[in-house]
Amino acid sequence: MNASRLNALTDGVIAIVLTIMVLELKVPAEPSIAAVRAVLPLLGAYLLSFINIGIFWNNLHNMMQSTRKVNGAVLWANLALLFWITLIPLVIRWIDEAGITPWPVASYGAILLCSAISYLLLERALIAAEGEDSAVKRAVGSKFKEWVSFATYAAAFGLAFVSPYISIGLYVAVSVMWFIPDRRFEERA
Amino acid sequence: MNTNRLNSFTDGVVAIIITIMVLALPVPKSPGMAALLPLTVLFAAYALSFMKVGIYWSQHHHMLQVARKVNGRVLLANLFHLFWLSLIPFLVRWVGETGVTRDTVLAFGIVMLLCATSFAILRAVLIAADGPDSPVAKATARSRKGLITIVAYIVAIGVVFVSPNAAIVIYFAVAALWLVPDKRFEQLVG
Repeated sequence: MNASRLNALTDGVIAIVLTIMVLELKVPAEPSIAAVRAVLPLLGAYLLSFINIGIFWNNLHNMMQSTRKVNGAVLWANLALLFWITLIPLVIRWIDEAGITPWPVASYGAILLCSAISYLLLERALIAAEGEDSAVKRAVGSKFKEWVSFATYAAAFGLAFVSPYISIGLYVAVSVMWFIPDRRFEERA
Repeated sequence: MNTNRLNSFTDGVVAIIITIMVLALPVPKSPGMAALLPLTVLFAAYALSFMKVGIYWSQHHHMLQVARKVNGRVLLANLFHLFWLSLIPFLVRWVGETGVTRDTVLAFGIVMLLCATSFAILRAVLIAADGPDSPVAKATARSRKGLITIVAYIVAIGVVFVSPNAAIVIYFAVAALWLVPDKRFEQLVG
């Protein structure tokens, strides 16, 4: 089975997630700089989430380029990843209503952690479907970045209870790490 | 007619169904962990519904991989199936507003029964379009899971009147049954 329908569903879901996030944003209450400042944290959460989802999509896009075969396990790993990504707009809404407080910020980390785990499972399922000497296996390589983000999200979850701002710093750091495009797949494609 | 447009239309509709369900989840009223607890039930309803839509999409994906031919009746049967799937986000919203009551659990069972029945109809018209010796007919020949599912939902609808919680257990059990991937299609496609 090839990956065309899996990609179509993924693109559809991610396009909708990216778009409904903007519905969580509020217009400033009045036409003043002070009112704009009040919505800045939410704008920041929106921007960070947009980048995080964009990173997942870019990496998926690259990985699926070198995928020739999918099976039931791949479909489920992919759906698990989509499940966690759909929860991101919900957390943004929570951060909007509760502010930058430990639980909403920690939940953000928990969802990113679960997304990262699903992504690792998807890589594993793809390699299992295609074999150890497949293009996907060679391109994925050591999964170093995957494990670094995994550990950072776990740390950020705990540190949110010390200070939510430390966690936010860690989320931004992971995004910056991934923002540098993943050349592994392009080299193979 | 080949299956391309039917598949892309289905993927679009399912992508929207599975994503807008999250809009039915309210945010906790306050920033503490305690505020999350009342949402656990609704969150479970969301996860179950996500799984159900995912299962139908996976099965559709598998079945249409081996289908070679579609006709007008297949398109209508597919739309009929999508109609019932599209009611799932509505049910999540209902659970969100009134909680897990006899009526919401009953409605979920009815919609699930119609999703399963319409999928069985889709399979039947695909086989009719493609012939009794077609790959789709062969791949689904020993389909006992579909029948078990329909029977389980009929039982669950009756059980709701005794205990809604028992019906919910049946819904989860059916989901678990389908989570085991179906190897029949993979063997055919390779």
